[in-house]
Amino acid sequence: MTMAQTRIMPDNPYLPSPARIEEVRVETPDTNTFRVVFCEDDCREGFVYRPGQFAEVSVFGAGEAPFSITSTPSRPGFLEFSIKRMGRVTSALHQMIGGERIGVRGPYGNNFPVGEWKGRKLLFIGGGIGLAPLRSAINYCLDNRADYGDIDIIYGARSPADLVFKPELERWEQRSDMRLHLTVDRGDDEWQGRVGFVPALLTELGPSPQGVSTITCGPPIMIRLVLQGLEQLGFRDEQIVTTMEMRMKCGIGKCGRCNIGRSYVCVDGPVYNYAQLKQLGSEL
Amino acid sequence: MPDYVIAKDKAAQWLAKLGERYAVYAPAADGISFERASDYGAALSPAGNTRRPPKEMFLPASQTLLRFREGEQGVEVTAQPAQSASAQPRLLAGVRPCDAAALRLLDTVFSEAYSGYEDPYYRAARSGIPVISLLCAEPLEGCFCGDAPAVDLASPAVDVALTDLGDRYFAEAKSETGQELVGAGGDLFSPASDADRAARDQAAAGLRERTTEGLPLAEMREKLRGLHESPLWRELSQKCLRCGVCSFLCPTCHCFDIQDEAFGAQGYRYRCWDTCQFADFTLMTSGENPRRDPAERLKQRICHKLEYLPDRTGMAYCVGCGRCVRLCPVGMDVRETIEELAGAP
Repeated sequence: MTMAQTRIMPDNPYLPSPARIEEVRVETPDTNTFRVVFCEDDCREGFVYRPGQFAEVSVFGAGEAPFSITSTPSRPGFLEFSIKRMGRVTSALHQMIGGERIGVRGPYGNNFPVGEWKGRKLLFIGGGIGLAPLRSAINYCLDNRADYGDIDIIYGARSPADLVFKPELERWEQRSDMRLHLTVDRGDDEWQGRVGFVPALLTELGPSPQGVSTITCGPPIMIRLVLQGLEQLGFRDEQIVTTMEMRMKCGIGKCGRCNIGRSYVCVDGPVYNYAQLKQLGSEL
Repeated sequence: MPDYVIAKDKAAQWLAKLGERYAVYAPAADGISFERASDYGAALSPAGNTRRPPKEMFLPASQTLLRFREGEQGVEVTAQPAQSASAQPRLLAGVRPCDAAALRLLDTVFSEAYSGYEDPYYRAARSGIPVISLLCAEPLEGCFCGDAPAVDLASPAVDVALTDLGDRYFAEAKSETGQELVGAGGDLFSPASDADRAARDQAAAGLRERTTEGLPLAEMREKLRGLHESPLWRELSQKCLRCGVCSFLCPTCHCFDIQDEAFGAQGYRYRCWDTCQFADFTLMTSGENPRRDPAERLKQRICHKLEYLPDRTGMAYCVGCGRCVRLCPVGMDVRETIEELAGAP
């Protein structure tokens, strides 16, 4: 007879691995990027992820929440999460200055189809903190630059202060093998760049859909308007990929809340193309 | 596997024997829940069903997952084992065929095949726990197990399936464990005759007849696909108080929340039942909520059971136990909900 009570749980997906915050970078008044390193070598080596996946981050006592991994596996050794201060867990994280122990489990979910994108042109369209998940794929593609065609990034935020990854935006701007199109909803005294919304900039640039895969992430209203804009430009639903956000707890397809129709965002998503989302009855 | 019969007045002796090896859990005398049996004679009463389904034996209403404390190296985390090392293995007796079917459906959800991950807490609580079922003598108000494709009234997927034949129980050993359990009863059992088998089939057929309303539970999967935008959801959800009793007491509902509690330098992480009927179930910290409206939440409850889970597993996740019908404080009747939806254009 199997004795349930003598079982140990060597393979417990709910048990986070201990990790240390190595660096905190202030991105905007409400968003920090946390560079995180696993405390144990086997956790570091065992955590093999792809751009677009997410992890559950624990601040013990405050709770656990899912965050997309914004670093790229092509730059190993650490994970980065860009996190806006919003609720209990994120506020607790924002009180950390580096050196503290947190918990990380994952990686979870599917990933951006970086393999299928090979040989294609890429158009990334991000708004605000929505650049965080895209950044993993962008840097992955830049690190494997020869595999991909033209790379264009349209990125905007409410104000210049709300643009995330500023040093990286400057580096991207200087590269000759990609184009960064920046915009802000409202400028300030120092801002000399474009002013206007992301969907308007997309329409103004008017990219041809020929041979392009496009990836968008941002606030829901931006995504809705970007999808309309892309449709008008002749993009097919299958060419458009986005990454979904839903309230999530377990991350492993058990707790039952993050579904869009039959699809659990935690295990079947978070990356979907627009055709799939329409089929699932998502109200994007 | 061979079939047996056991005289009703001997059944208590059998359970007492099993009680030497197992902590026997059976419907409590007050009819509320499964409790450690003290009176083995009353454990196999075929009347009614428990108000709370036996799922809480394996998915407790609240369950500690991890403990953490501030150590010298920073926070130290340990997984909480599902049961204490000294606990006697459990055995469930008197589980109704609907609830037995529901346990199999829950087994699927918590398995690796379902989502790529096995749930170690559910596995630890559930594996090696024998189940003895008992066919109801009479259906309760609101029971419709006869319509549920997952429910086998004559021969549920358990270790030993009992059917009340008046002065004796028909006992079908359905697994090796079941064979051992019957074996532990020794000569309390005798082989069943063809007449016993016929009587068992007749009892099951009789109950099926009384619990069949013709609800197309299996067919709803296709039907619901076309109803996501239907105005019926709003109409049908109007009197709902969003108390969540329909899902908390549902034997197949399994959605849970995970939270931390901390007291100074130590604390624990637990999971507890949650329900799609609460507005904050899908409320994100950003303020976005894809199921803000009660109509969306009724759609989630019905479609999760009858469309999405069937898409994933091939099975409708309603076993017709009738608890949500009997216990809804405003008399919302899932049978009527299903009928309305099934009849929608």
